[in-house]
Amino acid sequence: MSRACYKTLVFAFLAILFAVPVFQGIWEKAVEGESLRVLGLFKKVPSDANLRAFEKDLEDSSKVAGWLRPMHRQLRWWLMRDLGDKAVAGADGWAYYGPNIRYLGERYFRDLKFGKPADDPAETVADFAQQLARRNIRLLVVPIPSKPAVAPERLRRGLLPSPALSVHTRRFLDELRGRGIEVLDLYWAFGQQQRRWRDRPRLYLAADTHWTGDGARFAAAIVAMSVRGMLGPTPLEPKRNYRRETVTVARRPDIPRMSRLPGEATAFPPENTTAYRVFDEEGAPYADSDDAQLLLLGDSFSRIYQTDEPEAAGLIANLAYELHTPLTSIVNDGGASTLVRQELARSPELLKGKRLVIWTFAERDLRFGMKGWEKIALEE
Amino acid sequence: MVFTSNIFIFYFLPLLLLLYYALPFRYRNGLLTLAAYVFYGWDRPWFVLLMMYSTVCHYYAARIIAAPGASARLRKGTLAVAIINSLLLLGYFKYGVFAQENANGLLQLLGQQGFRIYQITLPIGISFYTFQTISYTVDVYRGAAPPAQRLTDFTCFVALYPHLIAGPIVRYNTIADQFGHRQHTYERFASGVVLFILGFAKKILLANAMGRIADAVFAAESPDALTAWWGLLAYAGQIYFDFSAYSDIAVGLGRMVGFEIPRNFNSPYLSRSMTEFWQRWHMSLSSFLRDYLYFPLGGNRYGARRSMLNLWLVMLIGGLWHGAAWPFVLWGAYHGMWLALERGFAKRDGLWSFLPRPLQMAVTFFFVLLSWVPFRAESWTAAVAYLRALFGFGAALPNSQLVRGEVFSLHHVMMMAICVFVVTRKTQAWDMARNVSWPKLAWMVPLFVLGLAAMYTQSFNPFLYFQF
Repeated sequence: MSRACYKTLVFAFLAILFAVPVFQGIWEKAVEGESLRVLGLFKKVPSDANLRAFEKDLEDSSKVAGWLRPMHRQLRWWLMRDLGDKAVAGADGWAYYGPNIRYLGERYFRDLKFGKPADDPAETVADFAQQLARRNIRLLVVPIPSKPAVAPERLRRGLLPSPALSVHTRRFLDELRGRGIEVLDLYWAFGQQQRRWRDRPRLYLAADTHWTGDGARFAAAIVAMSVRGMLGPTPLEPKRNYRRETVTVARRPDIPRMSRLPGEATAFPPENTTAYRVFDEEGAPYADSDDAQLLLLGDSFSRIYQTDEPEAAGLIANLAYELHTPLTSIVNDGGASTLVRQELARSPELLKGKRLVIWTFAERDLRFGMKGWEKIALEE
Repeated sequence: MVFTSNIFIFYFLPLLLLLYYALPFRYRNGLLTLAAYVFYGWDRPWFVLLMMYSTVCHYYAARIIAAPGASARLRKGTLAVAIINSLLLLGYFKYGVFAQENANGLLQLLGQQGFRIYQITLPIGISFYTFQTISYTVDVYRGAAPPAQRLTDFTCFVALYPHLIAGPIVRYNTIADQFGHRQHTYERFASGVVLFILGFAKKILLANAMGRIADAVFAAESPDALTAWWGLLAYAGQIYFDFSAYSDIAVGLGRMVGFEIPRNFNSPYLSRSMTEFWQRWHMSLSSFLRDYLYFPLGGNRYGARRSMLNLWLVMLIGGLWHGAAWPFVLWGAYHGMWLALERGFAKRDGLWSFLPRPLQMAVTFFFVLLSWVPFRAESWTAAVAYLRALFGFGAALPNSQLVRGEVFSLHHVMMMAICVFVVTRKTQAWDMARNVSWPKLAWMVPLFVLGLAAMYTQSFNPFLYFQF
């Protein structure tokens, strides 16, 4: 073959290799007015950690990477309906969050050789329950079922909700029951509802990890039943008479956003869902009260519709509606395994006058919980 | 440092090429050595010292062995010390934890209390450079290779960054001349670019895509048979594309600086027998095991039975070289069994050579495929459970159906089809790099850009053979 062909290939390759760092350097210096990031290599001792951090910083700040990433994601979606490592596209415009499938479909987190939580969730829950018991406060543990277990049919056609899909959480809950900890298995109610009454409203959003407004309301009703059963006839204070109104909310789905799919709104338009907004006697939207006898610890499942649009229509407000009493809540997106208890430890006064702590968390957190399942000592 | 990373492609490589071609030839080996130490030390800087130690030991051992007037006893003793020294290092770093675990298991079996396992970090590439240094000293002892004239040449040979971490395993005598003289032509550089781009694309676009399927299925609690076969097929694709990609990149980078590193893969999944498979898969390891283990054990000089036993033993050790775990030993024993059977009963032709050619390939691939189960499984128990799942004896739990839904998505099916197409093509990267044509050039550059775009969307994904 001709020498011109070899030369062209060599120069094209070298042009790419050299153009990218040169352009990056010019951008950093001339446009951003900063010193060259690459010189950061010589500013710190070349330890493992510093080298990793330097490499990551270089890649994160790469302009070319910033341009190529969205193009590739878009191309992958157009050509193959691929949402990347974090999500799986289902049928009929549905999408599933990868860690949910991994939690449900892979081995029980305790049986994993690699990647099991550093701290044992059962030990941590038991420790927390004991700390609360010393204050005469009871604990109710409520793992929130994952979408693939409740609505699996759009991930794999013909697959129906069944407790066997969420077997790991059953195992975990059995273990907690064995330790005398009170638990609520939402999956039974959710699975039954989706399996038997197919004409009933959907409990989960199509391209979002979270539940619909109906899902939040349904969960609140089940949790309320359990709370009433636990606390008996003594009424909860302060008593409030709330009312509820339906409102339609357009929710921008989070799975395409987490997949960083460009133009996600075109592929996954906002989904309308009916939310149930709760108002107090004065007509003001529901608000938490520090004087409540119930404390709810939760994650984004407690945040959605509550502090998000339309507000006061999430799990917390609907639970208050069902129980006729306000709640105190600590909510942290993705942080229900450890971060919420850390917040509680920083504000121990929130436990004053409480009869029950309802601890909700996405079931996948048993394996993937942010900051693991650290034991947190509450101030005596 | 990983070849498929932003820092390597846009900082390390251009800087190295710039300096390399700016310097006079006499400084280039030194530059390559220095670059290799930076490349290697990027992961764990202190492990460079270990490699330097090994290099210096073997350099001086070879000089003592090749010194005029050295007695046979001195030569033999020096050789033994050099080899034992390297094997002790390898044994400590690679097999230390394995030995402790087994000792612990034995103690517990005898009703004694086990001890706490002392964890040891495995220096990447130690298996490769240990084999290379040993082969050099043995070759000098045998008179098959000249001793390196300068320490810089030898350090450059051991640390030559393109193949340092995961091969191909290069023998000193095959590239000794190249330390004194190398040809730098546009043709050679261009063929290196082609190999680099194809290897890069294989790793980023194909191996990692197959890895997503394999990881999901092998982690599944108890997949059904179809999903298990799908996952195993994906792993076969992953390991082939991953490892052959590393070799292609290594050879390509070598050519960019004038080195000719031997070929390591030649369409192994198109083999018609297990013997042929090993002539096409990790070819540099096969020839290393043959020359430095099989022949010293007696090869085929002591009859058919001994030859079969030797083959089996060599593959058993080959399995252990891949990883310090019993499933790897089983993997080696399994391949050794087939090689021995073919040697004993089929004169190296496949035991199924009576079948039509496509069926021979299919049967060979089937048995190779089965061998990847212990290679990939986390443990012995996991390997057995997976084999049961393959043949429909697993529990096929409902929750694993979710994994099935995931791995049979449109994207994964399309990627699998592309992989099957690439694997079954007779023309592989090596052949494509022979001639660079205008049409090839027209898709080579876009392929590189596509690979780069994909690389930026993937999480850290090192080559599989780094762990060996």
